Amino acid sequence: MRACYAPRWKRCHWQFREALVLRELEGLSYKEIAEVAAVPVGTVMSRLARARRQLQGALNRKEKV
Amino acid sequence: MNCAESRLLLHAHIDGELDVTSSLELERHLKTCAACAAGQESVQSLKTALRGSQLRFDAPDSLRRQVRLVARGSSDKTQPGLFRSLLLWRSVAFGATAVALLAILLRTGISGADQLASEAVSGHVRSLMAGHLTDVASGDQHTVKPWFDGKLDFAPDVKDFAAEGFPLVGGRLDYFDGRAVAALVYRRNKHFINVFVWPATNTGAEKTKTQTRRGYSVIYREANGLHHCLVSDLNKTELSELANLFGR
Repeated sequence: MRACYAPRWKRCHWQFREALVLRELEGLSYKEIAEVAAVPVGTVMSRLARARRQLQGALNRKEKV
Repeated sequence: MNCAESRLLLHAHIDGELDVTSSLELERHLKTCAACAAGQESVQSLKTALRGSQLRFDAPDSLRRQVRLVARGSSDKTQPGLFRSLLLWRSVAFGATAVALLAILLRTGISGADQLASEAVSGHVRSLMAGHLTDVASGDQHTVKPWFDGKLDFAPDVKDFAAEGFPLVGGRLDYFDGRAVAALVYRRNKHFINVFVWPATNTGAEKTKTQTRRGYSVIYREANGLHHCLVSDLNKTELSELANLFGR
């Protein structure tokens, strides 16, 4: 994921990245991600929301550069 | 449904993971809220961008060579050529994904305390939005403390601080920092305060750390062999008054 090199995304915690990669690249369901990460589904939901927000921010910043 | 709830549930809705009732409620909100509708478009365009192949890592040539060597050494010579080829490319794809995941997982930048604060805020918001603020609703510490008996492997220090302006509202079980914890709920005027309590692994000197996350004040305090993580939309000064009451 080349966008990972954007500084803001690099600061994103690995747990948020993990949720996003498992969802968007591996196509896992929330329940499957919860099992892999050993967290409740609610936590998966909030991690995905944060990961997307941070990635969006990183991409926006990259576009401006 | 308000905008804060909408912002969190939006992702599950777009991913097709939200129940029908909540989806309908969210769609009604999206029709009336331009900001949340714009947020929906933004998430959808991000998902589309992520599906693009240019955002994936290609397996490095060195990895391809290694996988080829391994596949050649272990493949059954009686297998048809097409099957062997499929097996090889499947191994290459798996290897590439593993390298990509490893690269992503290794780039950690936020400290454990930051992660704890984020988790605390998420727990606080969920407790308020899901209508599951308390399992035991009582301002009496002698009702709330015994309720945790047999549910946790430690006894949280439950005290009512009504005299100090922080009446106890109740308690509930929660999951935090990879374990079951006690969540004590206090109130300051119209502000709710979640206090997550769990045992400390070492009983050293007292530690306090104050942070702000997504507009919420978070105070982490370690005292008397217990971790306390306080979260609220209350200002830091007033929240620290309550933090100081723990471990007095």
